[in-house]
Amino acid sequence: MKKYLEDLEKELRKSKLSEEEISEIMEDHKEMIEIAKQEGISDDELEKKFGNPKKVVADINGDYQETSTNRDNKGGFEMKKFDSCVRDLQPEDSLYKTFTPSDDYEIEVNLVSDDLQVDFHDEDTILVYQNRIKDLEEYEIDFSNNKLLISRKSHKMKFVIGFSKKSQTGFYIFLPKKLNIKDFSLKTVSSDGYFNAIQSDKLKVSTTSGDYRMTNIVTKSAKVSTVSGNLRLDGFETTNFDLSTVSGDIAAEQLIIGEKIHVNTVSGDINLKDGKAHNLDIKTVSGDGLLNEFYPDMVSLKSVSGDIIMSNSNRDHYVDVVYKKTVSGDIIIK
Amino acid sequence: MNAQFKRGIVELCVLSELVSEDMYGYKIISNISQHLDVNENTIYPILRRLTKEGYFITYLEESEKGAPRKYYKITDSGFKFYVELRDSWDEFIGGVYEILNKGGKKNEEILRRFRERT
Repeated sequence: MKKYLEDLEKELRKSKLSEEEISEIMEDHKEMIEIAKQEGISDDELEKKFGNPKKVVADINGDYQETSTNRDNKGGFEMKKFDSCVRDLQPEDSLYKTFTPSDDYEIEVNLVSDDLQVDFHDEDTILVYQNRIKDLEEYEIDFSNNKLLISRKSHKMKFVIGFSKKSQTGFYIFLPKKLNIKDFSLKTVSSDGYFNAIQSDKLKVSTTSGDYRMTNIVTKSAKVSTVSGNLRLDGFETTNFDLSTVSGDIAAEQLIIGEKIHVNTVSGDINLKDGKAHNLDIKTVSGDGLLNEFYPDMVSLKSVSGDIIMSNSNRDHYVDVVYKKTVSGDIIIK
Repeated sequence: MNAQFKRGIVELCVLSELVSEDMYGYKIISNISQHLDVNENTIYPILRRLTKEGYFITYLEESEKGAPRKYYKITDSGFKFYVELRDSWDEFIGGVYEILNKGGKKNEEILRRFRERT
């Protein structure tokens, strides 16, 4: 279990938590492990009881409300470029297929527990890599008819025992830099997704429990939904946006919406920072909505027990509150 | 049990454990994991968040063996939160069972009814 504590500390160091918090979390874990040992728990059982330190830190981080920093961005929204969330190619990624797409290309991906990464490159081809996929027969992969389809045939869950990073499997797709995808549709169960610099007319993403990160996305209409996976969007431009979550948290920075954005949450928290929309519509049951320097022209807020807090520093930008209703949550606009 | 369902329910369970008595972290984890397939990495962040939100306070108490232990104690606002959450849970699960029971209460009954219809 010494390794657990070391890994935990490493993960904590990567997070934005303060020194004080890190040492408190470390102390708590030392205590818990010590007591577990006193009670005669075997090492195997201990490992099962404690699981993956990454997840603890991710959860703590997710619960951690970032305190707002002073920004001089007063609503002149120049799209900031975010660092790509997609990792570099690794030796285990093996090239599966190269082909040249035509205009109005479509992409559809359906996966169960395999990760997916999408990024651009400077060539005119689409490259598909796969990483440690054991049996490609399990997938339907098709490039014909102006459409790339990657779909897992059986929807049986693969149960991955333990958290060894080595067991992670996935696909990695490179798109030509200038290619506009007509229709990009993703449906995944417990797959993590990383997308950078996608341009499309339509983007549809649905995840059950996997986490998704997206950077520098430009699309005309987007529909993104998650059940319990967390979403993080940095730099996302679209005309209409439908964003929904059951219990996963959503954090978005630089969300530029031409027309309308609907946000729907049951218990996941929503955190929007820097952005604008013509029309913003938030519905929450118990999740909190935190809007920081997000400037809609019109807003409609509805909450059962979650709090919705909008804080904007630019007083010149008038926000028209069209509708506001809460049962027991607070709605604060400042 | 389904993973995404867990998080909210575990939160209710953590609150419930501390409604019955003050406990140290490992004890909470150990109690809950006896009944549900959850581990530390789900429970600890919940404990921490609820403490931050003022639903729990902590204090140290000497133990017979080893170092003092950090105990969690539910506050008034924590108790109020628990009651609200519990109410909505009861209401929800009550609704679910009303729907399920329409098909029959026991498997034999469900099967019998189904056979009768087909």
